Amino acid sequence: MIIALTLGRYYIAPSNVISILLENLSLQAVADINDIERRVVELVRLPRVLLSLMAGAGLGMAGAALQSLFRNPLVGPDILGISPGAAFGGALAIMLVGTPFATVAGAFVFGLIAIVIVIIIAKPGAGTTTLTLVLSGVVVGAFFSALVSLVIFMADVESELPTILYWLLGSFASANFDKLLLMSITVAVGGAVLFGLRYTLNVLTLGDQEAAALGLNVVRIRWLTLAAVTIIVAASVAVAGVIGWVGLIVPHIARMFVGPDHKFLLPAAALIGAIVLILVDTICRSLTAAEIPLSIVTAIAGAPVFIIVLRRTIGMR
Amino acid sequence: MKTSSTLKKQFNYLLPAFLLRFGMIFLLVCINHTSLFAADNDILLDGSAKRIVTIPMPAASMLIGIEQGVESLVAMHPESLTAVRSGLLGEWFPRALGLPADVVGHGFMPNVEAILKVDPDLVIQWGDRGDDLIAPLEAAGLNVLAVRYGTEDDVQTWLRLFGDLTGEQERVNELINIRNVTYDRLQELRKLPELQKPKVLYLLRAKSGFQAAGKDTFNHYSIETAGGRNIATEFSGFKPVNKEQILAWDPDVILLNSFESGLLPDFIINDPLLSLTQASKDKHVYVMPIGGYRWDPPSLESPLAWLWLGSLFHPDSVDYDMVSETKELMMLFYGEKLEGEKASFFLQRVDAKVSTLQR
Repeated sequence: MIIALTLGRYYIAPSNVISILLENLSLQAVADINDIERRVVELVRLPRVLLSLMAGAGLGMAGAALQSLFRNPLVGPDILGISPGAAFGGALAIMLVGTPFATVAGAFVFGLIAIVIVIIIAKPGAGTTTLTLVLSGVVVGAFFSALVSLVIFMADVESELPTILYWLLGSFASANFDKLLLMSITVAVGGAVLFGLRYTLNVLTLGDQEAAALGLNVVRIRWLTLAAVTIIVAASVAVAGVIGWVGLIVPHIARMFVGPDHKFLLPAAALIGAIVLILVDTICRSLTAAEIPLSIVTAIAGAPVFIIVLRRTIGMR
Repeated sequence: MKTSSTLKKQFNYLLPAFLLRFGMIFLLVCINHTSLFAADNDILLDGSAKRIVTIPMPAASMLIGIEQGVESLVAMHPESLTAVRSGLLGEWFPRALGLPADVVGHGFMPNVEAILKVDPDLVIQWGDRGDDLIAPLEAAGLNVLAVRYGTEDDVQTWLRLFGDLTGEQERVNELINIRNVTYDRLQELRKLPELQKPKVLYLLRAKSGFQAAGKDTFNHYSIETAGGRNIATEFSGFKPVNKEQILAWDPDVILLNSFESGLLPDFIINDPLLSLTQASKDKHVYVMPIGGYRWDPPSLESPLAWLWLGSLFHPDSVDYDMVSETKELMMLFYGEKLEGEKASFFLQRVDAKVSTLQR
């Protein structure tokens, strides 16, 4: 994280970055640091790095919890339609209202609506196979993607469209402390709920009937988990647009290190997710003069990583 | 028909590419590097074009300027209409305000039925954005002139073609001449040592994320023409950039686009980070003016835009007065006097002596 803070298009000596950070901690002004360097670190890099940290941690945990809940390693926030739903809600809010609060609220509400529709279609219960679940996720995702296209089609080419497209591409470029606050709260709440459910999630991986036999209220746990996941994913879409792949791959990497016990898996997924997203965002903002959209990097890097993880998982069996 | 055959000959002479048709298959063969082609080399016109639909945005104001009125323009892109409304053309040529602008759907995809409704004898369409934009028009039996975009050469070719289409060749020669004359007038500014030229950043978008103009854009050309140095030369086209990159570039002058409504220099000058750029410190942040048309993309008014940029970049080296230049050239372009409230606001904006904050 400190390394990420020292990198960027505006060159600042790493020692100065550290001085600036220490200065904030000790509240004592350090001489020989110019104002530009101070503001770049405090107003551009710090919120951005912290935001990618929180979003990465949140997406990692959300992915891990979803994969356990559905007992399917291929499930991720993208596949279940939460992201397209949230993307539609956010885009709609940009078109109709235009305030940052509305965008966040729109993304959140529609992310939740999307997952509810998925559940209604799939009717998870004794008879539900993972296939029907993934299929309904794909259908709902496709439906909301179409609605996103509809919004893009109807948006004013001059004013709203560029904003919507820019937001959809996924970027932390507009990071600020308000967005950081939102992301931190949702990840803290969502993460706490998921971590509180760590033992029940372990039991759920055995199967719904087994879990019910052990006296667990499967339906309630499912809803709680989904609510926690949805607020995290919806918040991440709201602050940074759709970030693909992270929620899908990170849990696999985490499982490779710590195994399937959620007591260790959730913190590991959070840590790895944070590292991955900070790394990706640092590439996006510093590699070239032009900002690279986040989703491009996550997908290009994510696909090969996923293949490697898949091969290793098969090899272990 | 004499005119028709002359026109055809001119097309064959001018056209950089031929389109050979084999049944439904169009084959595009580039024979040289000039910048225009007709989608179909059989554009058949009975005399000059009398009913023209324009889809490339700057084309509508060019046509109005060439004819100094709304003569052959019958429909345009909605974006062109927005510019007519926000600029002076709407005041001078109110007829343009009533023209239909529903001729395109999403992007630049033509709405063929809306176009057929205005019964045009020619449709001007983008020639460098894929055949899909042209094919539906040709399928409906319309004459299509497909034009390429980007460089000053392209603009002059547009003008020449529009002149041929409307039979206004002499007028067009005058308009092209003023472009070349103005370019030469600014020669001294271009000859200045590189270090005396300000570092300039043009932002196509600012409010919805920053997008800078790279090296092959018309904005780059305008900046360099007026003795500035475009600072975003690491890439071509328009690319998103972050604030940190803008700080690293530290431009001396920041030019803001005329597209985003409500965008003012304060947006940059009051930004906690961008206020640290040299441009903000010196208050050298300007919004591109809208005269008859926007001054950021190519238009008839490009010579004025270059003079304006020259007066911003080198206020002590230029020997012309922007206000009188603007009055004179707007008269040449549109045959109209700069009078009234909107015109005086416009004149205030082009007068570099007025501080940016008052705009």
